[in-house]
Amino acid sequence: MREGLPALYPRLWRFALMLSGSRAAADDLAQKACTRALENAGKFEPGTHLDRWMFTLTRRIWLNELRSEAVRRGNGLVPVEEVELTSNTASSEANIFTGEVFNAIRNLPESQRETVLLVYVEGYAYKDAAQMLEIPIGTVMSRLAAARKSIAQKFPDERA
Amino acid sequence: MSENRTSFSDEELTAYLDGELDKQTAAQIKSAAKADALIAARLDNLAVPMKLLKLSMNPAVLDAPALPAHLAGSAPSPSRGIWVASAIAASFVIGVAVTNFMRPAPNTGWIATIASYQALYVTETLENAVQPPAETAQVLARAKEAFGVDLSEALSVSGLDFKRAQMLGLNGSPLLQMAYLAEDGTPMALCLKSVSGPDRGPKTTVMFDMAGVSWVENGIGYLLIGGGDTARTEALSTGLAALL
Repeated sequence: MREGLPALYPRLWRFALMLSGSRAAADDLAQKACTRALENAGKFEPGTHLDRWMFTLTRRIWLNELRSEAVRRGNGLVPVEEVELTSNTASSEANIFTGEVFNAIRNLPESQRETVLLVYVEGYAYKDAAQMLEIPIGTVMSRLAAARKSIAQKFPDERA
Repeated sequence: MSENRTSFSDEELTAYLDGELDKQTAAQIKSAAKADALIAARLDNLAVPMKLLKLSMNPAVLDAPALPAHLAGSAPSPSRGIWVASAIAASFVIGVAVTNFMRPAPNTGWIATIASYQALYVTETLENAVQPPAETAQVLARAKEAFGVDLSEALSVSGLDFKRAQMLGLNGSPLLQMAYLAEDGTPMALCLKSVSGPDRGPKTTVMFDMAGVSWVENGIGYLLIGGGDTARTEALSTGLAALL
């Protein structure tokens, strides 16, 4: 596990960012998840998927321990704060579009963000995402349908 | 069994677009979309710019951090011997992760930024581009002023068809992009930017499915990037470095 964590960490942090809404909170959540994973390394079965185990663990820590505090601070909602993309530093049309798409994702409800991340960015099949999110496949489908509608509305000419 | 369904839920249409639907229902949606403009329009209303979506969430673009050092080597473990060995292995992997994803590696930031820009180039971006020679000369003169490098030799490179040169900016400092099409139509770019840090030889990085070769000489970072063929990019960069 210790060998797998460094390569996995940037992806884990990205998932934490989608859940928690800010870079600082993502740092806390991702680090807490790694600490917890190392403490419970005995529960991880070698040969199974470390990434899926870690995504599930991260999400449980978020829901059970950190989310309520973040919601209190945010008066009930945990939107993703504006995150400066490295590409925003260059002035180019490509970066503008990249930033706009990121903004469209960041404005989705948390449940849709986590599902979009696992299926469209991480590339997991519906059934694997459903398992990690601990929800029925039908819920994965309805979240993705809603997310697709929201994003598509903002990019009528940029679909692919 | 093969009744022709004509109504589908948004969830089914989404699963169809995601390739997650059973074959029979997928075939029904496919034929329904051809026959029924309403279903085609509903599919269109669910279509998202997937390439940009993935690009915007790339760890390099988000500037995602690497695993903090205290987590890589200080947590308790049942066997110290194994722990030491794995800590050494982990620190090696961290080095790789840092190089791939993080800003602290001196040149990674600008390389990631250029890569994210170049990833959106397709053949059509450049195939009709014609830059008047006088304009090219003007850009190269500005580049010479900014970087102290004469780039006129980079206008005719074997295997690359030069299309245009333009000055861009990154973090307030100039960035030169020379855009080419390879013989098979693959868009490629040679970019120059002032960087801090010592000279270093060519290093190959794959970002956004593109091969990039970067090197640093006299405080100038060079990057040739484009296409998925690592061997070709390396060979072209060797030729370019010799010309410059």
